[in-house]
Amino acid sequence: MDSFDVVVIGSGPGGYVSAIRCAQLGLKTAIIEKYNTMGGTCLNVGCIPSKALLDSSHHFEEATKNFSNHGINIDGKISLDFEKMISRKNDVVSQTTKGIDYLMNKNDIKVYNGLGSFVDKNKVKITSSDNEIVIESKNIIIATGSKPASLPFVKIDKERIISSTEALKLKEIPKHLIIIGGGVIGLELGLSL
Amino acid sequence: MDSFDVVVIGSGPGGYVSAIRCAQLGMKTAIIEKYSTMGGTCLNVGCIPSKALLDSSHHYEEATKNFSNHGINIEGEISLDFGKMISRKNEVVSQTTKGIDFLMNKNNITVFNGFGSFVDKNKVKISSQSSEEIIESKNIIIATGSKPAILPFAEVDKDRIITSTEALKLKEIPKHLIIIGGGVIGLELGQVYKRLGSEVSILEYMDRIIPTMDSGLSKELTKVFKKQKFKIHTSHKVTSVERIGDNIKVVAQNKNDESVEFNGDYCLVSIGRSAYTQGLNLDQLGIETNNRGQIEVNEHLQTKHSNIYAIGDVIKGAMLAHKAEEEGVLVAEIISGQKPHIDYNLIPGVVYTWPEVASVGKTEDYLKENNIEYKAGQFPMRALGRSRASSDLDGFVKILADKQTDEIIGVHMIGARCADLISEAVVAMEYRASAEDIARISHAHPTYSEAVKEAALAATEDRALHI
Repeated sequence: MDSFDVVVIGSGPGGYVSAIRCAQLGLKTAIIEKYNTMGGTCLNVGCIPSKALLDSSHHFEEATKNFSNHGINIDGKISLDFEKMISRKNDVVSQTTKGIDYLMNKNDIKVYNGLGSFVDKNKVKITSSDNEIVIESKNIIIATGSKPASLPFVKIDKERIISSTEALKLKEIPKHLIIIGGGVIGLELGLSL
Repeated sequence: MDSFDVVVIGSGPGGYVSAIRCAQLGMKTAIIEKYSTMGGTCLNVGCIPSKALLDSSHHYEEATKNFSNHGINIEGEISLDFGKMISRKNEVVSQTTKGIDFLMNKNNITVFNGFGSFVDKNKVKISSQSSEEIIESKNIIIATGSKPAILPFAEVDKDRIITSTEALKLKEIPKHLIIIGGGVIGLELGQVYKRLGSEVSILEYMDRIIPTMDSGLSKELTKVFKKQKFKIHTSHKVTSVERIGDNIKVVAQNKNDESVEFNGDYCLVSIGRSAYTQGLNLDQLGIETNNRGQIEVNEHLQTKHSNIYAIGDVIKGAMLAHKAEEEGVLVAEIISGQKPHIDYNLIPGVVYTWPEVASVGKTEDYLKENNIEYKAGQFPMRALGRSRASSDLDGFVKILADKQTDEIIGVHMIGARCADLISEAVVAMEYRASAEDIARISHAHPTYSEAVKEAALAATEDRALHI
């Protein structure tokens, strides 16, 4: 059975940074991630992709609303290739999550792909589609993050009733987007779209 | 005769801020401005209008070069109404100078329009086209600023051989703009016209552009500017500038002592600025200027007459609006009996090109030359998620810390939004923070400021997280 000083469950910014710091301090470290890319919500479906879309949509807004004030004239139409905007966002995400692979490798952190669950207080089972292993560790850090919260009477169909995850990869621009919740996520995505 | 506690000559950022602080402290204050708008070089023909043109031209560059990556398609042509761009700049300036009128009024500061000159150490004559009057004051602050420096052999005709003042109001976009001087002014204005389609050649006397800043910044900015197709010629000593019709011929000597000729349709002379004291009648008071034309002052910024002070570009030190402002406040507080202090080592320097360049404290070059033991931590912008999200990948943050104590002694950065990021370094250094202090402070994610934290981690123990 593989044995570590520290095992981190979850590779978001909390988990992967913790793993790097453990490795810097000389601890034999592993990290477990159930998705096929590292980085958790923040890198994959949170902070980073939303910033990419905010940036692109800001350019679009500047072009359509403010360019003439600057003496920049556009003869013809400004049109939006939303798919391309989303695909740039995907590239940004992919470069960023690959950056984490690099950091794990550089810091000699063992990466496990699969769903981590406790066997006992020093053992974690890692379940992936093709196998199941158990590793042991002196210390275990739970960094499994969060999921979008819902309302009891709202069924998220991920198509038209969506959470932030889907809002980052829509196929079309909504005509009228109703946002429940005026916090940071709702406002950022509302502005982008 | 009108009588005041303080009269300020010159309404640039040094002068008008000093007047406001004097008024806040209960002194009866007047300010004299010879131009028809308040604000001096900075607001009228310096910091503010150049930022307006940098902003507009940045939009133009984004539209022409980067929009398709974002999925923004433009059918047809993107064309430039340069007249409109200049007129937006003029509006920005006019709003800003009117803001100073408002501030003077709000603070009950009497504004005199006209040219101020000394009658004696307590009297100033104000001459305008229509009248001439004399006012008296217990204290007088000289804040007359600076003018673009000129080369003895290059006559600025303000038409094709120009200074920054004219470069801010050209009627056309130069085909080939030759810039003499690779400092902040030349590079900022050069970038404006490069983005708008000019060919731009920069001739710099020293062996690198922005030669007063950390050489790491010069190197990175050179790399980026070369990517943007600037022609940069360092170690070039300009020996003649000649206009023949609409052609400007500039001859320079390179480091091999060869004569090199450059031909363009405009030439911007941006070799620095000279203190401006003309017509003040300083001789009358026995106030001398040094060989650079600057007024000599003591540490309280007093001239040889203890009631006459001088601040800003007209005295020694960096010619920066925010340096002048600090001095303006300092003098006001000294007059009112307080004991203020300025740490000149902690006046930040900023170049508003894109990427922006900003610096505070000692350069690495200085530390090496003076055999000061230090640790360096550097972090590249391209390793930040924020940089990738905006496709602004150039640049880095470098933190230099004392080898023994870890105290931060210099911070040098180049990248998106560095003009704003440098403030963190200034605050940290004012409080004599160690690199580890910054490393242990939470920095919002994803922001460019994370590069500051990472560089601090690298400086303190070589333990950056994301590289």
